[in-house]
Amino acid sequence: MLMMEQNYGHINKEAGEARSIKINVVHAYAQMRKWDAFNKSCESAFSSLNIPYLSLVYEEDFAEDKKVKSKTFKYLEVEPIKLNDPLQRTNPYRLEELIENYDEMMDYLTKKNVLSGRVKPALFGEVLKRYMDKLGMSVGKKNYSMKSTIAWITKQLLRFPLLTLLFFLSVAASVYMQTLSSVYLGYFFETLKLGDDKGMLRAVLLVLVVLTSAALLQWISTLSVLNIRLKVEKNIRNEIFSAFLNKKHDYLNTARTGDLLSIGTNELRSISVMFQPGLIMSLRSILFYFIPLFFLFLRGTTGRNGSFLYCSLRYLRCC
Amino acid sequence: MQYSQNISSAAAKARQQFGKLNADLNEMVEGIEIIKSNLQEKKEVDRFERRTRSFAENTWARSLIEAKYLPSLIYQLFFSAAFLQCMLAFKSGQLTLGEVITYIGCLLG
Repeated sequence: MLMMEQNYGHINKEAGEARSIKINVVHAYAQMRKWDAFNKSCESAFSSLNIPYLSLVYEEDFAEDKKVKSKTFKYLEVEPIKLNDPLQRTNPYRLEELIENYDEMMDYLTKKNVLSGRVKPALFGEVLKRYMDKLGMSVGKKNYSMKSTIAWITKQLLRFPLLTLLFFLSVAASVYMQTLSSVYLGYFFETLKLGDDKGMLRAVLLVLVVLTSAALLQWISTLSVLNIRLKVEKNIRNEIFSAFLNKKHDYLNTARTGDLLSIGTNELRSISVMFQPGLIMSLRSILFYFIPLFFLFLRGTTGRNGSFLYCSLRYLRCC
Repeated sequence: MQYSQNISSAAAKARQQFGKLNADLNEMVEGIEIIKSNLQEKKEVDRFERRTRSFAENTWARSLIEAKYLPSLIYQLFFSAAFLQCMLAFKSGQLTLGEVITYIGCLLG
């Protein structure tokens, strides 16, 4: 559309090299909003009049001749027949190749929050989808990878890399410290058996230091996962809200208000419980299995429990 | 007492914010067709985002008040003190080895 405004017309395969143009991003955004509003009003009108309609996205549906034909026949409720003319995009080039200032446009659209799904970008469908996929998000119904629960949790956690790193490190360190306290407890009993007073005192002090550190680290991990949980909860809430607004009238006419509210409140709570205490408990359970194994391994190879520093150095060497 | 006052005030704020959030959601779901037909989605999303941010901030503030009291740290400190006392009692002959093990078992339990 913007190319036609600049008298470039259609570009087809026979036209040779792609001719790129520089577009005015503000103008492009205004056009996108205009056409988006037009599409929405059409959809709204058809829905309210109960007129069935077919939505086609040029960049997506016309990428394949078969796809668009199958969709059209299905919509018309007629038997598919063979058509001589292919229904395919006449423009073989991607928008990245056609728009000189493509990055500038993407930055602008990101700033305008077009890429968070507030405005449905019908005209730039395919390109935006690819861009969003790069960010781990998408414009349509799915905002994140829904392949599995783990993939979804990972995507959410990766949105806050520093907090996630702090959380994992603090959980690992606190479990390490707690395991170490058991090691020193064993050391205490050994000294008790031998009647080594100095050793006993040292063991008690070590247990004190290690347990205090474990408690502090646990505190840090709890706070960091709480922060992650609140942020994730906030994002999900906003996304659910946006998703409701992007739903078609057909859906909203049939869905009960209570069901929708339940999604936005109760079911969201379940997700936040999965992060806290679910995530922290799962991680600690796994680490409580592996870290004592590591100490047993040290005991097996060195024949001694070793000090904290010794164990750490030994561990680093093992890695 | 001070803790109780602080926590109840912060919890009340968070609760109020949660109430507003749910009220907004309810109103939006009820009037979604009006919002859509007037193209007010962006405005509504912005308003809802402000509410969710405020709710998250209030909940975080409440959690920080709770966290300041560090119950787990207090437990570990008292555990260590009891452990030290146990050692001294053993050294002075007031406790036998079996009693030390029982005592530590009680602390861990």
